[in-house]
Amino acid sequence: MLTDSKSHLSRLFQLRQELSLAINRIIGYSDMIIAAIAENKHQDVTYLQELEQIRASGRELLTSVNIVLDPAILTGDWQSLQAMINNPQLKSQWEKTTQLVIARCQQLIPQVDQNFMLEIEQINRAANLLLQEISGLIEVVASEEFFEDIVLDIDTNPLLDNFSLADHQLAKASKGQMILVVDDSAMNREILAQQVQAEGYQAATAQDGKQAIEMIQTGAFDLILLDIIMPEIDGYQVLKWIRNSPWKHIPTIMISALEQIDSVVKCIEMGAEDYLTKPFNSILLKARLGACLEQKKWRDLESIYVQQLAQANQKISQFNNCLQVENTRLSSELEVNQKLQKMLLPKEKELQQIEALEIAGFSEAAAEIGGDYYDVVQHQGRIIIGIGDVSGHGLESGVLMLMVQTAIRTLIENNETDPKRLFEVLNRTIYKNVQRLNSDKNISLSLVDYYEGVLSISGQHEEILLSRQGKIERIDTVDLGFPLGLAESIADFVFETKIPLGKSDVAILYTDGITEAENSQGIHYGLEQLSAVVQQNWQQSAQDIRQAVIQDLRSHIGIEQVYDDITLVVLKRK
Amino acid sequence: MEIRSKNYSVIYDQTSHQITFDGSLRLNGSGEYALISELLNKVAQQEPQQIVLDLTQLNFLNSSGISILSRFVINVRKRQNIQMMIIGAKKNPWQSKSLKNLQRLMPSLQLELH
Repeated sequence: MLTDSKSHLSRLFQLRQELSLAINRIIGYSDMIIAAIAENKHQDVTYLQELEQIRASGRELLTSVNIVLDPAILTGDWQSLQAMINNPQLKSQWEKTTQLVIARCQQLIPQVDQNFMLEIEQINRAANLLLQEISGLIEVVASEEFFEDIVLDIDTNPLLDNFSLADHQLAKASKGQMILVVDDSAMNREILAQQVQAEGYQAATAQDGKQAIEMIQTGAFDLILLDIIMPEIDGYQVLKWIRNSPWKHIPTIMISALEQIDSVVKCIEMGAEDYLTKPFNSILLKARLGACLEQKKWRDLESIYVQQLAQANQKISQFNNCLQVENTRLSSELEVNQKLQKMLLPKEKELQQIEALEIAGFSEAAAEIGGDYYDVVQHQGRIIIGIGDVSGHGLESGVLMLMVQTAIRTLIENNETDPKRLFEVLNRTIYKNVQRLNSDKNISLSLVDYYEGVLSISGQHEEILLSRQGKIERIDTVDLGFPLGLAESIADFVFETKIPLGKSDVAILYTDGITEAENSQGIHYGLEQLSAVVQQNWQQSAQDIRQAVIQDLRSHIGIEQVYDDITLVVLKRK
Repeated sequence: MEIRSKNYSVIYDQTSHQITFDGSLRLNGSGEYALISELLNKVAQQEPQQIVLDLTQLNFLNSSGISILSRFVINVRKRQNIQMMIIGAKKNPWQSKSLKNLQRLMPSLQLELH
């Protein structure tokens, strides 16, 4: 026994729906025939008026049922409902309208086109069923137990089981898309399945939520037409299940006898694609099916693309991560090196303060770090210019260059003037550090000490170019020293050579980054070319000679990559 | 004993105790030079009367390689009883300075530059 108002309400929903089923069927079939006739305008149909009367009667009945059994009115007020349904006027009005439908069907059966015979018979049966329901309605409301029986009776009504999908003549060539119709009412299932097939789709039906879920899991469906109010698992639950399942992308159109915006809004919020109200308007159904399936087609394509994009993106981001790590490493290493080198370079202002000599220096780090060194230190009237090159590339070379700069400066500040002693201590310092670093680097280094018109040169590095009034001399330094860091002691190999530097004489110091700079044919810039440029420009200032050399070097290199650091120091006696 | 790759080869002849370098050596650091330094150390350990280092066909040797050769020369010098000869060629620009430096490390070393 059901006593609480909530259960009453639930039953009333069902009652309303069951009445609507038969009415919808009347409207649906008449609609279908009228639409078919409208499509063939050339045919002169004499019974259109009767059909329209049937449809109008159906609509009238539906409106009345919806008003009388409006859930908004019914809520909690069982007594007023009983009073309304017990109203004999209402009952007789419904019966009268239904009988009118049956009468029109009787009129139509002898004269109707054979193609529509089946539909007219369905309308006739639905109207007869409706008549039975109306006559039993008072008892339904009066006795809850009877109400239950009626529900059962409707569900198992042999009339409704007679429908067969295959029979329907309106089925067109399949568009290959499968639509699942879920409705607990056999009559609604039939109408919808037929309309769906009429549009050229394939249709399958499920009679309750449980069956629907089982069928959806086969993955065979492109669209679902889902009734909201069903016993046990209702449309909301099925919709919720779909949205949380792998089939959540199958568009779902809700169907309901409830026109309440609430239920529609709820379903749309839950992810339903669209909705249809009973009675089914075939044109609206056609439009919505088409729109939803078109959307699904694009969404399917989109999801394939999105998947492909996601995979591609994943690969790209993996590469990107690798690149970023590598770039960060490379750029920070490069930055540290460049900073080290820049920090240690003598400042232009410092150089300009030197009275006896014009000195112009240039140093540029390559993409891969060498470890060029040049420095100008003034100490007690002497001007000491150092130039060197740490072998190999990378951070280690930069660090060694820093050590060399510091060690030389320390020795000079400590008044070390003897090149043998200076180089010996310098080498030992570097050698021991190189051992500690477990490095195989070595450093070529020459020191040029200018004092009162004389250059004292010591240490092994590149040849030094000298311009005396435009006449070029080359000073070999191989015998003046030994690479730093290779041997424990180098004192025996260090010698000093003294060369006078006259007024306007120019001395050029450089690293192999200049002489070995390659052009596109792999040809080195070379010492001869360097000599030639110096020879042409010796009369210019040290700065201008520097600029001429760098300009000429750049035009030689062209667009080729610079592999090594480039360092140039131009000395010119004022 | 020999080490061969696409760009270079190092071959040791046991009867003449000659080590012949060929090609261009640009290996990265002492790590990649390990095989070659191992070969050189084995030759020094055998303490033959004379070792000949033929570098005439070694077009290029990077600074790491020069370090390896320098250590080898120092190793040989320490053993005192080995005669050492290095043969080079003037056509290889790197050799004039570097081979002279090797000779400085071991004054008894015979250097031939062809």
